[in-house]
Amino acid sequence: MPKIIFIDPDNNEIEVNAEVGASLMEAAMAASVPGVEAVCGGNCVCATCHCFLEAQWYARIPPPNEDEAEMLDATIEVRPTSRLTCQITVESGFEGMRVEVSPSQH
Amino acid sequence: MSEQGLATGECHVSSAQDVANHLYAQFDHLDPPLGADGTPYAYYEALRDAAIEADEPMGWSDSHGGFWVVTGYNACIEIMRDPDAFSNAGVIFPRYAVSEPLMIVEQDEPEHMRYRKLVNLSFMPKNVSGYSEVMADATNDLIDGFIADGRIDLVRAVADAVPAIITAVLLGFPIEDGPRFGEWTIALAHEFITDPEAAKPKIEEMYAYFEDAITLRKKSPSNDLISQIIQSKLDGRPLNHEEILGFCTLLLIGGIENSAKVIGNALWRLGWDIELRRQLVDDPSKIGRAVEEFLRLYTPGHVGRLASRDCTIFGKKVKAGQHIMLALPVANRDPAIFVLPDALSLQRPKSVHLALGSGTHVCIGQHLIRLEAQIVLREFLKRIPEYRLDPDLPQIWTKGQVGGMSRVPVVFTPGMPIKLNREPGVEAWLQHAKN
Repeated sequence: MPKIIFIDPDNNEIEVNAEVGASLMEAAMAASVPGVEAVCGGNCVCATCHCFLEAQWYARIPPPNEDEAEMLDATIEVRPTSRLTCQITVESGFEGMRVEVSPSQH
Repeated sequence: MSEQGLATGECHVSSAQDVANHLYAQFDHLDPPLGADGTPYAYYEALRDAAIEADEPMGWSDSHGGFWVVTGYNACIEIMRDPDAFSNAGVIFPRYAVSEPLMIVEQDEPEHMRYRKLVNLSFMPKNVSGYSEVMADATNDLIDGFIADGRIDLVRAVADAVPAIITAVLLGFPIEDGPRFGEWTIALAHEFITDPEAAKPKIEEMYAYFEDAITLRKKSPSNDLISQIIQSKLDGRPLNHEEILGFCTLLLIGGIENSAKVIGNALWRLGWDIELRRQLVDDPSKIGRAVEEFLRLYTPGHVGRLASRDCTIFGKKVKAGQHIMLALPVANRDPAIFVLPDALSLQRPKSVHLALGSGTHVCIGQHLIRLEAQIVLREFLKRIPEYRLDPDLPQIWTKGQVGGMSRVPVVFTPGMPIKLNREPGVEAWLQHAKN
């Protein structure tokens, strides 16, 4: 179970022991990370699990597919390392990953 | 305790189970009893408290031929997140007066997602924020039309009007047709049950209107949503006529009723909650939090499901073909999730309410509804920071699967309009509101 650190919109750090094979969104929801709403339940239709990765982690994982890229493009406060966390599968090598929750999901 | 019981000293004690079962048995989302404040919330709170006391987040209602009612927050989420067992074919119960299943809303996977993806991006935050200025202008133009009068029904003049105007702009319809959209929505969602003969010609008029709009856009496409739908491809083929008509019905109903009720309920609350109103006037950055609380506290919609197979959930044996109604206005006041659930708190930690659904069927217009409500409240409080409910006229709550305030007459110190000339569309709404 890699330890992932979420940074919520109030700048609090929340350490989560994430289950390998689950989505990054599910790891955040299991720990009730504030700001991650994920109201569609991981179907890539609401963009309310929007987070920012660190550049080195963004480069290490598979890039967004076409659906996610389109959704991110229609989301506000997008940054170069924006991702919808429901589309990222946790791997054992994610130890120490830092994930910043977008200040607004709407 | 009965009068006879009092006289003889007998005491009929009902178990918590009996009380909850009794309240569940009488539950009718189309006709909840209204309390002294004109809303069904005293009743919803009593139902919730009895359900918690009996540890029964789900019970059986005898109304409408019988159906399950779910009042617990976690129970509602569990059902919404299990689309295989609980079909959206039962989302509206009894069904609206439409012949085909309502596009997206009443569809299950994979159809639901195939159709939803054709329009989903248009409702994402960046795209709906493009309508911010139209929303603010419409609100201010409407206010200009009544601010000198010192009294108005805020539902007809603002809460019904702005969502209908924005829906017209999105779909590319003339704004002055807005009051008709409201009539059609009421005919489809309410009147077909209470007065089917009166509803029928209105529904026919709506379909004829859509037919004309589709024909026009096929000849000369525009940049509106209907043109976009006509030009879109589903698995490589253009949509057929019924599919396009289905989208028109969905976008019209979906765009108006929920938003109108959220805004109307908020303006009603702010009409008497002076402390809250002054907090928002002093610091408009709190309006976003307030809108979340209005959505949670006065959730307009219940949503239904149809059991696809026999299953046991929360100790209840649900049979395939039975209807289940998720009482979201009750679930959003579940104390297990929301501390002091009946209080409106701008400091409440962010917990996700269910007012706009949860799971794959989460409301496609969720970002639009939020933005509309925020902008209307921001502009309204800027222009009319002090107002109160009109002591001479009643507020009216409309009951239904989507329920909420439908008349909120208020009085205030008359002010000056900013603009004297108004768009014909806005004028049509003002005439409608003042009649």
